[in-house]
Amino acid sequence: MSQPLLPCPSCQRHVFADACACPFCATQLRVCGVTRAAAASGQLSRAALLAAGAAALAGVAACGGPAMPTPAYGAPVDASADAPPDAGHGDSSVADVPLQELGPVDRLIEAPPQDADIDRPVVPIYGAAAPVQRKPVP
Amino acid sequence: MDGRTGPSLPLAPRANPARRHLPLAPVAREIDRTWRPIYAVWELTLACDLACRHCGSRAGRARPDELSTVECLDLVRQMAALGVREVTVIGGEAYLREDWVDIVRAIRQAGLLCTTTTGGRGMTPERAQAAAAAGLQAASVSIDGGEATHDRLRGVAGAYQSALLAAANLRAAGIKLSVNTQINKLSMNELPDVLETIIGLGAYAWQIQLTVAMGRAADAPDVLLQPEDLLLLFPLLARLKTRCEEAGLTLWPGNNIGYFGPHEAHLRSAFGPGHSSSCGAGCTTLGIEADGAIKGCPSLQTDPWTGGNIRDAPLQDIWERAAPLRYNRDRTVDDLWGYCRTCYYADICRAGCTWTAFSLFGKPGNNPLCHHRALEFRRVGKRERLVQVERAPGAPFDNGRFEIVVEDIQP
Repeated sequence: MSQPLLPCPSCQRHVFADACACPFCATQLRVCGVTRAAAASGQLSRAALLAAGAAALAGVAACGGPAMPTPAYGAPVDASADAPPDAGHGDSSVADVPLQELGPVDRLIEAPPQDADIDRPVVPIYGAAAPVQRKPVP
Repeated sequence: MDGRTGPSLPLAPRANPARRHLPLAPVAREIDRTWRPIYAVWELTLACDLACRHCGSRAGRARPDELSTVECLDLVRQMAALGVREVTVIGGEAYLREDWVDIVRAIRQAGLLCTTTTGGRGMTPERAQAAAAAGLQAASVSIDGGEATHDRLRGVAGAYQSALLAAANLRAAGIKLSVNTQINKLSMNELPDVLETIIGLGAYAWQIQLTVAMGRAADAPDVLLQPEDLLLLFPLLARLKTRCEEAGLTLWPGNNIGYFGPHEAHLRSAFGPGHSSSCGAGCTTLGIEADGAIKGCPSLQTDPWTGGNIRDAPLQDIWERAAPLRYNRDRTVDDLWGYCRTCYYADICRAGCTWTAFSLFGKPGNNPLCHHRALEFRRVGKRERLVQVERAPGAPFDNGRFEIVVEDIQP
């Protein structure tokens, strides 16, 4: 199963949540290959810190938060079964900087909307979904 | 001849009787039981009172062996048992079947949502009221441009006014109204006006889809969008999406409105993951032809994509054990070809709409009607152009064949 996708905060094109940089506009999205010591010693630029924060937010989404596996035609799918255990954390050989070590950062990436309502209308391929919940005819 | 509608369209020959299909696999696998058809689109009849130039099924005459009322009611029972939650009845024109209201009522009594998609030419107040009384919850009326464009595409003078009247009749009967629109070279520039019309009609949703090179649409390839056209279309759609939000209208991009360009998150903000996904045919979607043929998607070509017939096997067996319905459950990146095989989004998108790709090339797995792809070609000074090299033979649900020409963008 692939990584979840999130829009790049710069160019808005979707990028895999574990990407270090946007492949389309080169915006840095997460701090890859940076040690905790470097972060702690203040060697990271503000941009890198923000990018790391965004990556951490993306990681939260990828680990069972709002980002869901891609449902066909928008039908609800259980995310928990398919989410990879290291989603959003990239290469385990380097320590990505966790959000809490960076202090408050802006919410750079807007997480996709919740999709937990199993009874919401499905996304149709013909017309538009019926706007009411399932209710048997009396 | 009416100058607005052009030469009359020849009706397709009556569809062939349903064919026998390959035997079902001996057993269902775990994955076949995991996927369930949440949404079914059911062609109740191939009879139609319009002659749309983009109609993939070349609808007009009823099939020679359409399901009886008893067979339809049994199919409703089987769909409910299999987990279907919403059924959209279509045609042709669903209302041309005399028992269509009985089928709608049965769907609702089985606890399923029921909607319809219609050209609206014969959606009289009486029909709308009968459908509402049976429990029909929503209807999507097709509006494909301004009046002249709509009438030209729909093949009948007056079709536009009929659609507007149908919309009014449906709303008066208490049925929620949505609108669907084909996007092609004739309608694309008229979309802003179409949207304002839709807002005025009081619709709650607008579904848009690209016209696909199938059936009669394959007979007029010049009307179809080229990949390069998407570079203009998507910024326009993004503006229209914003307008929809202002008006409280939900925009539903169809499954072939793709994929993954800079407007994706905006256009699909109403979708769970916020972006398009791969084809759901045979995974969450079920298509039924009026003679009982079962497909993963109603739009797919009949012969290669029919898993079986409801007259030969139970619906659950066809769903779980027919190879054509298993296709998307098993598909991987290895099944892709051309640009899509190498695409950044390959494992998520898997070439998007199977129907669109198959209609162009006679096989799925490569879809040039993609915004991301057009952007990437433009980035290197190139564009793709689709050239028809084989015409469609003229039967319902047929397609021709196209080839891709890659060429430099002229300054």
